[in-house]
Amino acid sequence: MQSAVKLRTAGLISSLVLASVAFGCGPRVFSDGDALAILGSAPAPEPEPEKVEAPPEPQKRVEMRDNKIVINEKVQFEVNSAKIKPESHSLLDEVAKVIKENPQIKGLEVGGHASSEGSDDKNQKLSARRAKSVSKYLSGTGGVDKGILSAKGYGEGTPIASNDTEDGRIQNRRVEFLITEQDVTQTKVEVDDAGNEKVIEEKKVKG
Amino acid sequence: MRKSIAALIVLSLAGCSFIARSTEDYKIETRKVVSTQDGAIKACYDTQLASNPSQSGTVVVKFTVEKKTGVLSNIAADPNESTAPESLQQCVTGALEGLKFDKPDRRDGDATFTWVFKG
Repeated sequence: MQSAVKLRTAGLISSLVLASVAFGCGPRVFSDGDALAILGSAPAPEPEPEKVEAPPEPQKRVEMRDNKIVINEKVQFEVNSAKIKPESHSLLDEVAKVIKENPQIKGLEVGGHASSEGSDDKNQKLSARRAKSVSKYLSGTGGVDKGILSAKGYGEGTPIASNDTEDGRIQNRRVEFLITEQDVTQTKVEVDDAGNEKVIEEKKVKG
Repeated sequence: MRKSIAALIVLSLAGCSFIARSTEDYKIETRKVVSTQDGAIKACYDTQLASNPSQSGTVVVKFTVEKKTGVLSNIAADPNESTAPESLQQCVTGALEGLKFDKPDRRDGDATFTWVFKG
């Protein structure tokens, strides 16, 4: 009887020990079968460097064209006067520079033009005085050969815009530079079969 | 004899007085804890993508959740199973350093987690 009790006790103890091992403090081993997905955010592409466009070439104030020197600014005068305003001196300095850079110019007429405001006579005289004033500036301060310059007042006779608007009248009040004479180099060229050019004659003629 | 049995039972319970999670619960709880670092791990990957936009791969990390403290320890990437670059592996394991369960288990947890990185 006693031995039977001992046996049962021993069995119970064994069971407890086994349970302790099986369900007690042994490590849990697990592996997460579902992988953790990480979606990355690709860095934004580097912004393309801004194309820096070359700034447009500023319009030249003074341009040489065929038979004239064009000014893209107006020569300013005192009201009802032939006195050139100081702010136009630099413009006329540029005109003088262009003339001197083009020695083929042998004759240049400074033309004064007026709008239709005021009497014809007054406009004629004022435009002539203004043309003369500009010519004098070019040969004096500008250092242009006086011999190639001439001045002429056209009055209101050759408008380039309508005299019915103020804007038009402003355009009509102007000074123009007309090349009346210049040397032109005529070149006679011979081209061979290979396309090579050979100058066979070159001469200067009055333009 | 009865006293001996009672003492054994008490000892057995005293030795494991923490939460006893099932394996599945342990895994779920661990996943919750490591998921708190999703942002940091994504940052690891984004850093990689900055230098290599086509970078992808996996990082398999093994670690132990210490019983009683709940701290993640022995955190290491498995180089044989991981395909992502070592720098990303290190970044991921670094992000897991210091993690800890609020309620520790009475058993260690030997965990294996895999992160898949896709750009």
